[in-house]
Amino acid sequence: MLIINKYLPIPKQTDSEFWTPERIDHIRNLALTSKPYKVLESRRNSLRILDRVEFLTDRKDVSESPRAVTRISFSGIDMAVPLYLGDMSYGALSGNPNIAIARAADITGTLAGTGEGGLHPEVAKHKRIFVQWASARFGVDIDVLNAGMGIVIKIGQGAKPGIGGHLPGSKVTEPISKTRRIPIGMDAISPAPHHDIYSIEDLGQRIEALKEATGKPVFVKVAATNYIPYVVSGIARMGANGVIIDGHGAGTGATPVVIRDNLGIPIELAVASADSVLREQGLRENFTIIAAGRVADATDAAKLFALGADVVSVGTAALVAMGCVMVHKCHIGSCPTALTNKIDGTREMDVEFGTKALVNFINGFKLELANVLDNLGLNDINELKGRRDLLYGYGLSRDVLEILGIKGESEELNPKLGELWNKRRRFELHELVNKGDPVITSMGSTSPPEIEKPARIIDWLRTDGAQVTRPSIDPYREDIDTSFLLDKGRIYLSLPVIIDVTDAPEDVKRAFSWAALATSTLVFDERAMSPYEEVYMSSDGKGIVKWSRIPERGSYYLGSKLTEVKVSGYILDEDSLDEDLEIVVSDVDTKLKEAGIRNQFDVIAKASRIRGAGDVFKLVLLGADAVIVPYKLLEIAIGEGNRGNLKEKAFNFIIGTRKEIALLAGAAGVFSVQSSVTGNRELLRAVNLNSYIARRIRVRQAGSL
Amino acid sequence: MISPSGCGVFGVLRKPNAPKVEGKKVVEAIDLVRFRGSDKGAGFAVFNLREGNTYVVKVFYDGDKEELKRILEDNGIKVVGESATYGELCDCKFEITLGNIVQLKKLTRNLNETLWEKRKGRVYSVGKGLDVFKGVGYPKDIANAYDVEKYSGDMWLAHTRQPTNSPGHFPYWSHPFSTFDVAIVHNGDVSSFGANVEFLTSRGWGGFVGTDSEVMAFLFEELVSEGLSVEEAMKVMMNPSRKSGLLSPEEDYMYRNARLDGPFTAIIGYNSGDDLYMIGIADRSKFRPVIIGEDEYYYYVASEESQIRLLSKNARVWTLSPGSYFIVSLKRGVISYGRTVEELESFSPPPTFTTSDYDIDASKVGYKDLNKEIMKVDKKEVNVINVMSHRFIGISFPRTGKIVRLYGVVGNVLANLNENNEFYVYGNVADDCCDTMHGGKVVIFGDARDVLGQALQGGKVFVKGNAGNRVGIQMREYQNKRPYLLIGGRVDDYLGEYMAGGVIVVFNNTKSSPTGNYVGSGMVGGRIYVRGRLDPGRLGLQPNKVEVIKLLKALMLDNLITEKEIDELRDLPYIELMDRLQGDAKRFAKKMFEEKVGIPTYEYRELTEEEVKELLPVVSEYDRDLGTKYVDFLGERFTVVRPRKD
Repeated sequence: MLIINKYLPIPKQTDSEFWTPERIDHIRNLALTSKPYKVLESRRNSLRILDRVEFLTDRKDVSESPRAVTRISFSGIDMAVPLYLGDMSYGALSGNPNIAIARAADITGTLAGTGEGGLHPEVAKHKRIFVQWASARFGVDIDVLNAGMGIVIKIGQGAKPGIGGHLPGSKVTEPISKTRRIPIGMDAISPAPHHDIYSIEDLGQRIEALKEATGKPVFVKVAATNYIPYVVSGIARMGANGVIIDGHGAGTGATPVVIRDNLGIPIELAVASADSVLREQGLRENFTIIAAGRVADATDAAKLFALGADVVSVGTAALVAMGCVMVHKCHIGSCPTALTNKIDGTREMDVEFGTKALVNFINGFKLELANVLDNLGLNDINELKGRRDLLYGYGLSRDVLEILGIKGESEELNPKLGELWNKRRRFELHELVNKGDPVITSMGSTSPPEIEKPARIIDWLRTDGAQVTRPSIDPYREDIDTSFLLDKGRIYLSLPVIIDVTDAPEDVKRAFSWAALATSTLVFDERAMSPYEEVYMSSDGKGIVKWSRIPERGSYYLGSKLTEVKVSGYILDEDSLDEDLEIVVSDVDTKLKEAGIRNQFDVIAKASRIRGAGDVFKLVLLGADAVIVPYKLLEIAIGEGNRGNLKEKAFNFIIGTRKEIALLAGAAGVFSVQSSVTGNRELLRAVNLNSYIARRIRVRQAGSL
Repeated sequence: MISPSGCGVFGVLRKPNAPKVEGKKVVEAIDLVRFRGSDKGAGFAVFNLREGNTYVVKVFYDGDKEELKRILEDNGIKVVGESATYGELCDCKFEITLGNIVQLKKLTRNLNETLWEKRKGRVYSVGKGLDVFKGVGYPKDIANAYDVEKYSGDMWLAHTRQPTNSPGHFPYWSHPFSTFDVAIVHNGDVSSFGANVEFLTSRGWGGFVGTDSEVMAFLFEELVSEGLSVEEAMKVMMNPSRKSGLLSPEEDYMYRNARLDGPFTAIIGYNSGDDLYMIGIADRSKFRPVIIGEDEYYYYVASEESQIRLLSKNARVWTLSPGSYFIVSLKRGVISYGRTVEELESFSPPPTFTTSDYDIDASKVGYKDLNKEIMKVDKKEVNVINVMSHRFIGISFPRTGKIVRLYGVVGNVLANLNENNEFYVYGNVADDCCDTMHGGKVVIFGDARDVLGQALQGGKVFVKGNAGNRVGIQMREYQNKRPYLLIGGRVDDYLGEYMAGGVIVVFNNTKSSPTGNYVGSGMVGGRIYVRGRLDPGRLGLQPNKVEVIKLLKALMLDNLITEKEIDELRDLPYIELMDRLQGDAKRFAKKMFEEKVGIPTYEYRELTEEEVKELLPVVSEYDRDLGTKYVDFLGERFTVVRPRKD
């Protein structure tokens, strides 16, 4: 058994990361010294909104004995510093880290959320915990509910809004089995929604029930998604003591990449907008907002307090303090630092080491926070709350400044700043074609628009995750229909994806033709290949559907100019458009609607700069009835790898994409993708997207009402 | 600005032989579930079928009534009566006569669009013999403000609102939402809202207040004015699964974006000019509660059974089947029950509300205060009469070893977390009963509604009648604890979803199918016994036939199966097809149609000796408690559903 009791070196990061060596070093510095390190650093080059918000002060002094007070109290709970160690379960973490977190909370006078999965017997000895009531009720009974200072009803989390959990039987070891109260080796499934909470009044019922059972304060944890201001006001009205809002980009032990990269909105917008709505409705008093998701240091925390949060929650930062080196391997059970669930039992984190590091980190964090207050000339953390006037924005769209409720220099950014492909994206596509299943990853998001530089307009758009007002729908066990009818109902596609095989090598063409038949979709080409005519959208008239470069009655017109001819639909070819594909798709959809004839035609986006399911889903939300994607995705996926078994790879690409689309739809609470998603811009939100473009494509900014 | 909301709803329609419904009754029925709503909005709609050509138009307006009157008259509308009350807004009412109905429709839409652009006002009620009363407050507040109790009508709708957001002091977002001769009350938050708005916009509608509920009213009007019958319009809006084939591909294509998705229960009232319709709808997952009732004089639709019982102790009540609709009209009677006749007949008779030997009369106890009263009674056995939707019973005393007898209609969240108490219910039990129960017993002499026995992990639950949607989901067992859930009647969809342990038995003493669809979906452990043969098409998540056939064709082209095999396989139920496929063919099919946890297995057979030995004492106890003799059934054939382990 290898005991991990010191920091491992941080591996070289090949792709863009939020948790840069600089941020990790900062935390390690605190954890090693228990002293403040740096505050109020300027990071205006970052695309993260919170980094582009700064306090209106030039002072960045750091003193080892700052004067300001950081103590707060809410719901009868006193905290030495408003820091909550957020909701990492025993199961996600390997046991010792759970103990260290609970101990550290007791020692420092903060709080630790236990996450789902019952109570580890060692954790149960500690007082300053919040226990969790989650969708699967694992390990819950009246004693567990009474064990802590409060109860958290977990509706969702930032890393995977609207997605359930599945701990395979192989990971349900004896100790896990005991706390979850399920037999060893039994799969542990957490449903996507709580099946007793499908609405705000259902949530109210559960809050009342838990209060009736225990008399403890009850908090509700939700992911920050489109309706977050309404969700938070509903939670407040239903009598909860507070909310934990988990922003996108938050860490996790396992999440589908497609969800992590496309769903949810940043915590800073969510907090600002929730705080505004609560104030407007007179619900802000005696209600606690705990903000989570990418909180890396006391400066981040201070900005969130000024925007309206009462407490911040850290998960990843706490793990980094205990040695996390950010290799994104939690989900495959090979964490080099033994923090997450290690299945082979060959290494273990030393509890003393973890506790000490974490206690130091919290103390250092507290001192940094006090230093921020000193620099701002404030005496007490309570004086900072809601002081948006102390903040100033740099390089943010006017919509974002308005939602944050702060002054600043507005700037409408060019939407195309980055590259389409990077190492991570290629690797994930490779995984998809090898397995035919949604690709899983772990830890914090590296996705655009904040971390990876956006390459297209859709990279600034986020899709919805259902939280409280309606349930998410489990794509694995429920009847989510990803199929699309085209051409007046004549053509059935099992997903809104058609493969463009024009210019593809013969073997790839054949592979996709077969795969399209096997999976009920189409391929796009000049000429149909025998014996697969029934899956061809071709211009030679031999396929099941015909397309043409001039408008012809009954065929698809490859062009974006509306015509009087009774065509079946429009194919908008990205390579021959004057404007961005997103804009043209949305415009054509809108024009056809204005003319009152939208439902007589298909609008098909032929995309060349596209990466996968998330992009397809967003183009459909902007009005496309289907998306033609290039065969080259398969080449990118294969890369330098083995070219054998192309048929199966093509098959895997299509069904994997389909499953990912179902995940996105289910997370948004949608059964019927075609009817409910096509053109439904309400399910989209923009994050600091150029305001003019956002208006043009009729998408509202994240956090807007 | 959008405004999703949760709520309580109520609707009542008289039969031709019955007197009109008094407003007072309706106010009581919605007030009974005001805890489902808030002080943020409530309302009523009263319909009277009447002759003549006089229409009533009601407008909330931030300004003077005379301005509005001028607009109406400038558009050629003849105003014959008018009144107004002024609060924060003018609540203006005009009686008008009409030559041309299309003209008024058009004017209403335009007026709304123009008014709403500047948040200047809203036409909130328009129709012949339709009167909407709504505002900000609890139902009683609105009833007092408008003197609703003095009205009577052929049909009523009522609503108490639980908004996720509203500006608080304006009545625009209160229900009912009304458009020409249509009013609707709704509970839910449809995920298709944005898509539905797009559809309506493309049909020339504009100026939405931004709630899904209003959009539902508009959608209904749009479809009906296009010429669809009430039932056809409902079929489109209800958004049936493509696999059901209920809509033709052409209709399906043409009405994309016109269908409702996500959670909704709604009641629509509609005056077709010569008849009045009341429609109750439930989404396909039945995410929101809805109860239908009928007695000698009236039809009812309600969120909770107690609302109906308040007006009619002996009405027969039933629930809507997931994804179905109840349609009844004043003149034509019931057009659709939302159930098959056999299912309809399988619901339990009215509850027993009283007994002479009681400790507590719940009619004087608040909806969540019964626990305190029970704990005050210093006896092991406590009898409670007149239970009407009381919630959370037992949750504050999971370990007191009490025997509690409940007479009446029990509300949500009975016996959650229970460890050793016994509850006997002489009536029906609403949703979320026995959640996370570890031991003890719950015996129900009537029906149980949705999500019965979620995460049930010990003890026994016996139901004499039917149970609803998502029964026994996530049941599990651990060490020496194994839960038993026995149902005398039938159940709806998703029986034993995510089940990981324990035993469910469905005796099906009814004449209809024992279960709905998706039985054992995502099941990883435990056993489900259904008496009689269960159609294998009802197990787990089934693929679309169109896709199965295409895949078989591709497999044939790849020589993984023969042409002859396709003919043999194409009409088999999916489970049997999978049993026949081999090797790569099976692998492709599984990848395409199944997820990590595959479709469950089933056998139709007699019980083994071991199974009888296990079940006999439990079923005997069931018989003793409920006065049945179902031990006899143990000799019959059962469909046994278990997780697939391959």
